[in-house]
Amino acid sequence: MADEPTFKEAIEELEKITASLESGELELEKSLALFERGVELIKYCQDKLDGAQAKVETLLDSLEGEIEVAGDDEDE
Amino acid sequence: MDDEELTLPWDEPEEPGEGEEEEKATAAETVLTVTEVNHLARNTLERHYVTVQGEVSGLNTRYPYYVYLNLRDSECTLPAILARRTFDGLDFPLEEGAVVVVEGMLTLFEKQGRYQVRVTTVRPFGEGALQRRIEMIKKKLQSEGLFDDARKKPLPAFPERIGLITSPRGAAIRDLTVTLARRFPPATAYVKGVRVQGAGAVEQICAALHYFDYDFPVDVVILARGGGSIEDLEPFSTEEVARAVAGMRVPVITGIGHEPDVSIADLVADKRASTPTGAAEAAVPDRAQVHVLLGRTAASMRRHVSAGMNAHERQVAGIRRLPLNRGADYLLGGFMQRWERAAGALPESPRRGLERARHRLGVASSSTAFRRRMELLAGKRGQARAASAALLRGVAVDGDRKRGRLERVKAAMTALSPLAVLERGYSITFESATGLVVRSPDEVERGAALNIRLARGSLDAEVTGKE
Repeated sequence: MADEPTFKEAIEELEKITASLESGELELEKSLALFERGVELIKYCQDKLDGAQAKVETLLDSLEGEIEVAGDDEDE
Repeated sequence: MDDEELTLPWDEPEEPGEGEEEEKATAAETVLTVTEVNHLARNTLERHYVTVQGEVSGLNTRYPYYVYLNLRDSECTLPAILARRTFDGLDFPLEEGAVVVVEGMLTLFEKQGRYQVRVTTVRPFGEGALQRRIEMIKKKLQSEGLFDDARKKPLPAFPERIGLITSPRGAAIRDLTVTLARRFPPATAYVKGVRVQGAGAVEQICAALHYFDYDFPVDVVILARGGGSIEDLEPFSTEEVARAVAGMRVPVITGIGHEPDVSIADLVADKRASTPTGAAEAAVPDRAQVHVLLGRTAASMRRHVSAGMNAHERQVAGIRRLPLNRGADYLLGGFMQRWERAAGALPESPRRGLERARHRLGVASSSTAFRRRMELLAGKRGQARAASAALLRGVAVDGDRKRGRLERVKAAMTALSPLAVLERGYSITFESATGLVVRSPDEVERGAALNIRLARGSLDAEVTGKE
């Protein structure tokens, strides 16, 4: 996928694709193209779901000097 | 202590007048023992029953019958002892630094001349006053409609950027990040560490909320804190924090304290969970459920596309049956039949005329000019046949190409189906009564009937134990 959609965008596009396919008014060529895009999106979502653990980033700013440095949160 | 039986000379005539007593003692220059003095001091102290507020320090719980501690304020220290039984029965944590109100009798540990308060009851300081203050803020905000469901924002279904506002240390941040990672790996948690109690907590919490609403966009914010006393949780029940939460454009989920704790921030938040873990669970979907959703989407897409494909195949078959493909004979045959039927229906005389016309047609068709025309027509027919063959080939090729593509996507779909996972040895457990998928032991009672779906067939089972 060229430009990475967010998970939400991927799900929304999938919903649109399913709705279009359900309407049954598409030409075969068009519905196959949509189907392929749908498969691509499902794979994308599945990869994201099964992918690396959620990332944790600690934000630092001048507000609190005593906050731990980013990266401390990963392991213990 | 046993030495209470000792009768000391100045114990008895208390009433007549202490002044006299003192004079006599001075006059006689009575020299007392240390024991006697300590006992005297003890008797004097034990007339005082006090209620005293102080901060706990030097807490010593090593001994079996008494717990030793000091009560402090900014200037002084007051030693205290507390029966172990009382200590164990407390419904709040008596810890170093806790500010408490104790009631007890002043006394003296004679052996060491150590003065102390023998504590009979302990309660956390400020419980009543703070509670009343919180109730007042609550009433005020409620009357402004800040707790109304109508003003609660919906939570995003698949948040990928999650702002966490909590202490950078402690169990809460761990519970949050672990739960988010377990449930929804696409999410990234951005942690804004704040003081969650004591000086500066309110300001830092408000600033962090503002930060996530304006400077660092996120999909949802979790405001969380581990359990603590009502004083510890106070910042979350201040008007400042409540208004900051209420004013957020980004949805806010709270997970503050333990189950029974409800802060005002909880009431204002778009979603309230009882613990940090609960807040994380409320924030993101469960990975397994999203997988099921994706599987369903895949199945639905496949169903509709294969329905479309079948329709298309019928179309191709229909083209094959078109008259064009059967050639000019077919068309001509039809024409002749219609002509004969029409001719048969005609009355005699015109019929003869028609016969004549037919004869003429026969003559004409045998003429050279007509034959040339026929040859020309035959050529055209050949062309038409070639064209229709090419068209059909085209359709077939196109169909094959599409079928190839369909096979490809079908294979992809099969791999996506949740049932394919079963082939790999996984199974799905349903509760028989409800038909719902069981994800956690909490979801079923002991003895509940289960249905376990396997790659091939299913099993009936019963819950005999939980872990």
